[in-house]
Order: sequence, then C-alpha cells, then structure tokens
Amino acid sequence: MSQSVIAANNLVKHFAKRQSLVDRLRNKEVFNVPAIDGVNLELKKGETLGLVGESGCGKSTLGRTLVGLYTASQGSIELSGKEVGEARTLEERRTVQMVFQDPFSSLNPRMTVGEVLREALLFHSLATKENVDEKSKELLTLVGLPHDALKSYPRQFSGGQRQRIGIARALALQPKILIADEVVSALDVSVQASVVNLLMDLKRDLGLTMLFISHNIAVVRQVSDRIAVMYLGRIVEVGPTEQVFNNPSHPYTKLLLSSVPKMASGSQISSAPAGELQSIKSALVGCRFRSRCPVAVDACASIDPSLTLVEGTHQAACLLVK
Amino acid sequence: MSTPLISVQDLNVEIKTNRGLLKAIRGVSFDINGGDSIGIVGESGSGKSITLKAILGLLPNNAHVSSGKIFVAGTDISTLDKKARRALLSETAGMIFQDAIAALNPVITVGDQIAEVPRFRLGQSKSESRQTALKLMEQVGISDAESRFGLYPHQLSGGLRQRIAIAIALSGSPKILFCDEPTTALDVTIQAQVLRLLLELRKNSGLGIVFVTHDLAVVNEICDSIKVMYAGRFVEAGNVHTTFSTPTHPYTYSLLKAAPDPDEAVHRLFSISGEAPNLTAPVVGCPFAPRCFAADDHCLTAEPALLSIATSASACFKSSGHDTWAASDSKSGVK
Repeated sequence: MSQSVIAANNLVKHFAKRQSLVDRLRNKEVFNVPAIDGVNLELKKGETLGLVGESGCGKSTLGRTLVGLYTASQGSIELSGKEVGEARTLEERRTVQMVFQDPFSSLNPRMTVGEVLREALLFHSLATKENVDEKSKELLTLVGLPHDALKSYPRQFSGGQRQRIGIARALALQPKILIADEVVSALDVSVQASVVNLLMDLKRDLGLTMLFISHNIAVVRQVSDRIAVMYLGRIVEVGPTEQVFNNPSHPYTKLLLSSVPKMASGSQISSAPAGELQSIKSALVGCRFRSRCPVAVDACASIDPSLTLVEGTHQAACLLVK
Repeated sequence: MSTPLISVQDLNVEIKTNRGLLKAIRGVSFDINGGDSIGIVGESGSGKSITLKAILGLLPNNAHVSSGKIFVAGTDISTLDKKARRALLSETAGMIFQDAIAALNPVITVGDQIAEVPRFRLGQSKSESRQTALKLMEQVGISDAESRFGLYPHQLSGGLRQRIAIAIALSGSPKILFCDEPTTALDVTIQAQVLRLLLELRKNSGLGIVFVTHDLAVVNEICDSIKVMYAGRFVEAGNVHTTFSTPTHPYTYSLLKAAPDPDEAVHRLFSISGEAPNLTAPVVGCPFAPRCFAADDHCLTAEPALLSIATSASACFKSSGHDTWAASDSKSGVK
C-alpha cells in the first residue's frame, strides 16, 4: 500500500463575518461562516483526487488551506506523515503547489514569463544565476511552450497558453503535490482538452499527486482516480471514480450527477423540484442537505451523519446508506 | 410558407478595437420561426453573442452592422425609426443574459422591475401590473412570489436572479426568448432547473428559444436545431441529433470529440491544436484550415460557403468525406 503524501485531519476553516456597528453595540453573537467544517482527506502518492461540489461548498477553500494560503482554524495538515506547523518551512511550501482558475489575474502583468520562472527558481535555490535560463527553458518545453516565450509578457498569450505558464510556474519548484483549482473552467472546450491532457501527462511523467478541483463533472470523470463530493464544507461522498459514478450513494451526489447535461440522443434533463439553500445557519443542525433532499426522514433533522462505508473504499455521509 | 418571425440576411458586424477593425460577424443568414429552438454554439470570440445583440439592437458603441438586413415580422428594421423598431422588437423577442446580477437594476425591487413593462408599455395600472408580475413570477417557478416581490436582486440566489431575468424578458409577452449563456454562471443543479423551466415554457406557451452557449450538452438537452459558429460564420447547421451523430464539418466533429462525456471516461481527451484566428486580419482560405485534420492546400486559399447537404448544411470542401474522419483525425490529436 502506498503512503499518503498529504492528509487533512478534521480540517476546519471559518471566515469571520464582518459585523456592523449596530450588531457590535448590541453585543450580537458573531457567526463564523464555516467554509470547510471537519474535512478528513488523504491523498496517496501518484493518485488524482477529483473534488466536486457547487460554488460556495468550500472546495477552493480546502485547496487553498492545503497549499497554505489560508491558515486552518482547527485541525491539522500532514505532509508525508509529518504535521506542518502554522508557519511552513520553505521545503514544505515547495512541496505543495497550486495552479489557479483565472489565467488572467494569477500572473503578474508586469513580469515576463522568464522573470516569473526565475523568481521561483532562484528564491528556492533550485537554480543558480548561471543555469536559471536553461532551467526555465526546460520548464517551457515541459508545458509545450516555445523558448522565446521567456521574454514575453502574460498579455501576449491566449488563455490556454497562460494556463500553461501557470503550470510551469508551479512545476518550477518540483512539487510532489499539485493542486489544480478549476484550471480549465475559463477555457474553451477546444483548448480545455489540451490543458487537461498536459496535466495528466505531467502527473504521470513526474509522479505527481494531484487534487483536481472542478465543478465540471465530465472533466473530473476523465482525470480522477478517486472522487470526493463536497457539500457545505463537508465531504459527503468519496470513493473510486467509477464506483461513485455508477453507484452514487449520497442523495446530493445523485442530484449532481443527474443534473449534468448529457450528450446522448434523446436525453431529458432532470431536476430536483425544490432546491437552493436558503440559510447556512439553519442548515448546520442535523444533515446539511436535508432541506433539499428528496428522501430525508425525521432523523435527518437531528443527526449529523458521518462518512460510512458503502463498499470497499467508497464512503458516503447519509443516514440512509447501509 | 409564412414569413419567419425574424429573418437575418447576410449580416456583417464590425467592431472598432485598439488593434484595428475586427470583423466579428462575416455574413450570417438564418430564419427564426415561432416555436423554434435553435442552439448557437462556438468558442469565445466566434461571434455568437454579437449575433443576438445585433438583432436586438444592443450592440456596444464601438460595434455596428456594416451590411446585411434584419427583418422582423417581414419588416426591414433599418427602415424603422428608433421608437417603432423598439416597439416591434419588444413584442417579438426578449433576452436573458449570462450575468443576471448585471442585467438587473440593483436599486429597484425585483417585483417592480418585472412590473415595469406591463405598467409603462402595456399601460396597466399599478395594481394590475403587480398582479401581472406576480403571475410571471409564478410562471417562472418562483415560490412564495408575494414575499419575494419586494426584495432586491442582491438578496436572491443566482438561480432565482436568473428566473427574475426570465420573468422580465417574458413580461412583454415575446414570441422568442434570446438566451445568451444564461446558465454558464450557475451551478449544475441550478442550471438543470433553469433548463427545465425553459423547456416547460416552450411546451406550455410555444415560446421560441434561441440559445447561445459553448456547451454542446446543453444544446443537446434543450434545442432541436443547432448552428455551429466559427470565426464569425456559421460553419454547420442542422438538426441537433443528426449533427451530433454525423457532423459534416471538421470543427463540429472535433468539438464533439473534445467535449468530455460525463457518461464515459476515455482518459485521454481529443484536442484541437492551435487557436481561433484573429479577426482583425483579413481571413484567407477556410478560417479553420490551420487547425483542421482534413485540410489540404485548397482549403488554405479559398473560403467555403455554407452549402446544404441533405438535411443539414456545412461550410467545408471536405464534408463529403465525413464518414472517413474517424480514421484520419489522429494526426491532430497531439497534446
């Protein structure tokens, strides 16, 4: 059995809601929005875990907390079995790298591609001043960009090419774990495929472990070995991709999968009758999904289900899963 | 045959940009009849949104229709004055946009925004228009319409906002609803609800739909016919099912192969090499030729016109050989 390279233990991240002056004078209780709320997750060496869920469910927050952009409110993160402290060492920072959604705002418009890569390589002492250009060129070759890109600014590239620059920047630090946060969401279908293929090739060739965050279920199905479904800060279902797709066990996963528009002829989109979350606060007691759940029973209002085994390593957090 | 509700003939639109004149639409012609559901697909910059905006006279200031005619109910709208054009268009078509929060007025309650057209254009009294608005809200599936009438857009979720936008678009009782990527910003579960709503409106009231999107699967779910746009032109048009099963333009073929299928994992996606052409430069030859697996020298020199073949139409010199593409596409499947 391969070991876990990154693990989250009971990870919690709250965002404090801004209080108005009136609320503060009234001494009103502060309500912290739990963006992620008790997430346990483990990534084994070389696997790709697809993380899906709707906007605001906390999937990006989870990615950003794992990479260290946010400090966790509670819980811990382990890298290769070793817990990371509040201030990560340089080595720990290098190990986990991230590629962002928006290829337009995640690159400094005033830095050439060469400067972007050089900064990362030199800061982490992965290259010397003498061989930094050579290393940068290697990285560009790796992501399929021409060498003369070094002297160009991000604005001179298309969305797909910028995303490749973002990938090169992340790979410059020779990370073990790559967190890809909605990397293809801003791209057209025709470009999306080439970026996804590139990521998969790199993952295989460099032995990377990847957390692939996306709301695009069709793409996640193509790239992931395992899939985790998030709802309101919790993982509600996790398991091998094919098992989750063929036998979705949590009602939310079922809703999500049936909502995806299909390419098959004669397909008729189905949708749950009711359903958008009204208030986060009221959902925090009992099962969080119950107000939208078509099969909720009385017990769902009081019992907060934890992940239980469905089959093999496939788990779902629903009282009705036996 | 009766006159189509909207007929677009050889439409050309130019946009002034810093980098020169961009030919955003280069000769687009099509008819929209009542009850049609047409999906227009293409990648960013292919001109699909601009087509809708040009028809409705919503082009930004730096863009203008350089040639071509738009007939609404048989009348050439360029011959009408502003007021008459607006009246004719508003009873023919409504439009919803991708970003509902930007399309709604943030300082007017959603109920008043829906009641605006009934009140000021249809001349209803304040209480009548309120009743009309409440009815419209129920029609678009907003439960508890009374209590939501007085809310502001920011107090509603994304799905509800898009429903409000649909209610506003329907308030002038148009025959056609123009939809410009209305579900792209929504979550997949909410997208499903909005698509269902559009399907129901079409079934129950015979509303025609023109749906612009980059998502082929969405077109498959809600449209009967499809027009594939590339570099400001339609390159393929036809029935959705026929087009999806036997595409006759290499671009359509490639798009269909590149779209990840939620029902099946292939582990390696088909990708289209290269990028869409820059339309500020003159187009020589077929604009898709540099990315095409079937292109030859002829394709680089002449631009094919959209020609009918059997039930569909394709703008490709090679379309007759479409059944052999599966064997020859591999050379473009690099990276």
